[in-house]
Amino acid sequence: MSSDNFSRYQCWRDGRIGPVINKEALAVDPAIFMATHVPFANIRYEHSPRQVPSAGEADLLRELQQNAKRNRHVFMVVLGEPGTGKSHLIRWLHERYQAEDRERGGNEEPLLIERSTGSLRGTLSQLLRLEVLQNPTLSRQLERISGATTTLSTEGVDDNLINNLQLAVTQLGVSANDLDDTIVRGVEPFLRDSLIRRHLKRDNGPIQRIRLHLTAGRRGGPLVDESIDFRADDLLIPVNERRQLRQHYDPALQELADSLAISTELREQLAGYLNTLLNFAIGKTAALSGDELKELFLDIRRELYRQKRALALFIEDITALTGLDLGLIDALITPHTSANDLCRLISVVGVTDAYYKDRFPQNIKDRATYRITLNSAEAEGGSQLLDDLEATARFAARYLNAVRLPEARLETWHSSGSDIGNLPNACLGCQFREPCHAAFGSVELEQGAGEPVQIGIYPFNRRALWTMYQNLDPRVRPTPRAFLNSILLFVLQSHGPKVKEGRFPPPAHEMGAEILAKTLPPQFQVDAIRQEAGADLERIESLLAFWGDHTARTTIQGEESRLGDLPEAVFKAFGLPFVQGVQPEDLREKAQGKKPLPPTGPKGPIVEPPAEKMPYEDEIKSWLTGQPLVPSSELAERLRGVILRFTDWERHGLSRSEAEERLKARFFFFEGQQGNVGAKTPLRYSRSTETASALLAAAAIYKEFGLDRRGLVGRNIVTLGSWLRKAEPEVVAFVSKPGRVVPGVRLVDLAVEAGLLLACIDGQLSPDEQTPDQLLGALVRSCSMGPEGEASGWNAATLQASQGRSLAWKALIERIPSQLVRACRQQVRDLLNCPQGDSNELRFVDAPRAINIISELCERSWKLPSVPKPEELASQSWDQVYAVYNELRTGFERAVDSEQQMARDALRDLNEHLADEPPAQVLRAIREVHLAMIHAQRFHQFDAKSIDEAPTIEATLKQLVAIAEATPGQAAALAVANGAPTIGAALGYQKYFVKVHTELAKIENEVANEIRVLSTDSGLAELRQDVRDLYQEVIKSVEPLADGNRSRKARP
Amino acid sequence: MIERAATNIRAQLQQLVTLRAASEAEQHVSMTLSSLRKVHRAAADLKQAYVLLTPRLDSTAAQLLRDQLAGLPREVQRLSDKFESEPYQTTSLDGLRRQIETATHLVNETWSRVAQTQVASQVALLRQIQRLPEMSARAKQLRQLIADLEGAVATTWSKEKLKALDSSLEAARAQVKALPELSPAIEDFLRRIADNQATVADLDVETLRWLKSGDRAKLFRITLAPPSAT
Repeated sequence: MSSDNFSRYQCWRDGRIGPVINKEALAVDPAIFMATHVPFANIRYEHSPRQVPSAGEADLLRELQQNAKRNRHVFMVVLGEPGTGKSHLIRWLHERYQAEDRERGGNEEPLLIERSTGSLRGTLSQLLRLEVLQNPTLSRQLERISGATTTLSTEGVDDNLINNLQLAVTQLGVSANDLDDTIVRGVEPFLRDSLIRRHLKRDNGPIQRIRLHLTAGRRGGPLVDESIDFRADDLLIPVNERRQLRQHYDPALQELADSLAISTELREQLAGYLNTLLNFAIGKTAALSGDELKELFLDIRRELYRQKRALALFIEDITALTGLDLGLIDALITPHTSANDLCRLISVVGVTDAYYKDRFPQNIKDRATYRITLNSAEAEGGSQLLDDLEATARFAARYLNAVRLPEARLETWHSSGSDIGNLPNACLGCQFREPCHAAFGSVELEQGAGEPVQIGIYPFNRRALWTMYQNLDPRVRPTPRAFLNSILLFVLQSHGPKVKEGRFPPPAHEMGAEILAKTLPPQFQVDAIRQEAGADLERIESLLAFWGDHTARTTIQGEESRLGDLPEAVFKAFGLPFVQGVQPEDLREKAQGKKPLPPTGPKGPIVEPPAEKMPYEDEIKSWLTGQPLVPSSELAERLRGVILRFTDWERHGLSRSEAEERLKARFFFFEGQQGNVGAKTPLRYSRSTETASALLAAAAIYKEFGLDRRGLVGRNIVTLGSWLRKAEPEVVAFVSKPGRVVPGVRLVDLAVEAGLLLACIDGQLSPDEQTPDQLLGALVRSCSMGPEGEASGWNAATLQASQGRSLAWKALIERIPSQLVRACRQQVRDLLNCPQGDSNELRFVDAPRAINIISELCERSWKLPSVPKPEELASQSWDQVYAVYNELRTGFERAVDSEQQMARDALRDLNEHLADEPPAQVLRAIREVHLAMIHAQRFHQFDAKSIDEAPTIEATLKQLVAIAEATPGQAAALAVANGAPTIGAALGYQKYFVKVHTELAKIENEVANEIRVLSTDSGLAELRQDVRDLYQEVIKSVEPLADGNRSRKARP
Repeated sequence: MIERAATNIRAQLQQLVTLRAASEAEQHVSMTLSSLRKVHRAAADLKQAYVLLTPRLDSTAAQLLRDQLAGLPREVQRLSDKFESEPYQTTSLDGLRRQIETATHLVNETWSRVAQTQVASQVALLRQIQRLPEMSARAKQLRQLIADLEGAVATTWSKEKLKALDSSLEAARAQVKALPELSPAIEDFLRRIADNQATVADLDVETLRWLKSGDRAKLFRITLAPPSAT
């Protein structure tokens, strides 16, 4: 494959998109992390004990290392809105710090606490990785953390949480909080009441939110830095529940619930109060309070000090430790001194701006050694990492490179040290590297001492990435996370496969769920390219809006023509036509409010010729005197227009479009003309007053009125009419010159037959339309949809072919481009349309001729006979119609056969699944087993279709039979014409049944295994007896106490 | 094909649900048994403490204790009766265990208070005797005895600890009895001094003679204090 073939090429691996652009970031692969890391270059220091040389991440790392070397305590806060890259930077700092400490043979214990699932349990589990905790002296501390994680993994956390909130009310007191009396009286019964507890524990309620934070995190959902606090709305008790509360006979509770329902202020007050109890409750629930965690951490630091070691702690997100956070931070801000036997600690902590503002006590804020931020200095809520066009390209390039590379190559690179100088580059082995990089651009990666490496950003270019980023929905924060998820991930996953299918880019409004189409070219420019772009208009518009300069302007750069500042190669790469755009002059005229075309003339009929000198009068007179005709080409063009317009081509068996193609101005030769003529035997016009008059009249008509009927009056028309009557035979002979067509074959025959088969492929025929006149009606319909209708119809057929049609059908459609379909239908229209009398506007269809052609086709069982190839000089119309005809002749019958075979296969497969049972019975069985699985809490990957679909399945089966058993020829062709929905539906049902069947087989196996395991003798009876026996022993043990009771009762 | 597979699986799932219920029941009973074992240990501790210590209490204290603990057997019986219908009793049993542990603590504590009173009285007397000239030869022995008495009051009692307490108290009494010329009136006077309750009215003829005999006259000093100071 040569580089010229750089079109519809997909260089990335679909399977790598998910792992590389990991939306959930639950477990970022270290190799991918290092390969996609983009250096932070604009870190802002809001507080620093000294000036740091640069805003780059390397200097930040050096700063930490210098502090470590000088044995200085560091507590660094990394601020940033969610998604600005805090976790990324902290992870990178940890990787580098650890690697370099290892290289130096250092004595540090670096630990990264990942955001992971974002749960407290997950975060505490990571503390267990601390090597020092394996020391026997810290076994108690190890047990405490381990115990906390176990406690959080047990069931009943919800109830524990509420119990501990209740305990907090009792132990911490409620009266000293300046709370409303209603809360003071009612909060304790409020937390105790079963109905309220159920309300608090509801789905998406506050307790579930806190429990998820404690135990599971936000698995399966996006990582958002969400607060777990109680909110006022959490405490709004619905009216029906309040009604039930009345049966609980607790006035204080009832009063509080009713008051909460009517007072937002009270709800906010109660939410605020409960939030003050949260740390206590979480600490109790986790069996580890903030103070205990602090002590535990200080113990770890003491042990490390004893071992003469130091600690470097990198916490991606302190939010994950909510509840215990302040205890931990307290341990982090405590510096080592000669008196306290603590090891030196370097800690880097990621904090969102909101969390820092609301939850960081001032005394802790004051004690931060460094405070840095990753927020953009310019854009509110944005990130400094993606500040300009170059930055987005650099950022994207690394991810694009990673999705192009196989996993093994990245792993190998990572295991050999992740040296950025040796980062594998997928572009190096690519055959299209040069044209791709030239058209779409590439990014030079910083390679240290190594050779610079260029990584391509195809299928984007710099402008596309930047424009999409700038066009993100305002509700989305413009952060690296949004860039990755809403742009790179979305576009590659949703539209990537369309590159190969020639459907990329999608229309601008479909580009991304969170990408707005704000930069479309101006409407008048779109209108200018509409005709040439045809069905591709929306895609071209999208390309210009994102990849281009948001215009449809044609410019010349060097020797290269560009549209919307994009070279032709970009269009070619996406299988788009490189259309002619708006010229700069047109733009200027547009800007000045002028209409470039056409000039308008005076209204009303012109009786007399204009008094002034006629256009080209001097030139034509000069020609009559023996001089060459100048400007011959312009005059020839004018004469051509008149001939085309006023000749009755149909009368001569020619179409207007055929005449337009054949009769070019360059084929005209005026006696004495200098220079080459475009034909061996041109239309020759001798130097005569008659020709001169015709030329003068043609020039005048053009000059004054344009070519409309209103202007064709007066003496000019008389002159021209007279001239045309004489010139017509020669012109007609020239246009339909023998030798340019196939002898014995009429273009109209080929066009009508091809048009009918195209209508069949296009789904325009139905089995009910069988007679030639009915078929003619369908043919006329298919040829009367207009350019857009035709294009969308054929595109729909193409799309349908890619989904629910056989390979032969699909191949046939792919071999006939839409422009040939349009040309063929144009010929049908032109050749069958006859003028009504003298009118050029009223026309009728030459039905007898068309019906004859169709009847012959039917007699031949829709088989197209072979036609010799037209000679080289044939017109474009002939070439186009012949090309379509020939493709249909060789491929149509095979395509119909394949469709029938496909229907037979689908029928067989469906019947196999149904096994002679009525569809309703099978659907009912699926529904019942689906419900049984839900009841048994057995996860399965199919839904139960409604039983109401049974009649549709039955109808599909009947239609499949009709298609499969249709007689070859016309019946089969008509049956398959509209068979795509039936076959598509059948394939859909088949896919569904296969899925159900596969899933059932899998589940049957799993359930059988589970039954086997559970069937083993349980020993339940023995256990029960053990309990009974043990109860008897306990009763015996406590019997003496009962004696006392009896003796007391016995006393009078 | 699908219909047959679906029917088979439905039957399997039904069986599975039944087996799971049985498995869950087993798990519940197993957890109940585990909690009950802890209750059993706690009950044994309570029985031991109760049997050991209640007989040493006076009848009022003993009756008070019995009244406080009388609900426990009923609670055990109630849970035992409910077991057949509610096999999952972990939470209730954990609560019961805590009640029993509290009860054991109460029994121990009740006796500890009594023991503490006995020990304190004896130690106070020994400290007075310790000052007497005739006891100088046995000073070391008396110090050890006081230390033993002070260490004998435990929070949790066993037979051995009770025996140690009894023997220390017995030794203390023996020391007192071994003193020559120590009549019950003198002994009473010394106890009142130890309790800071002695008044001039206590100085009868016998006591004054005992105080003046030997070298004891300089051992005791008279301090005049208003009644509120005593």
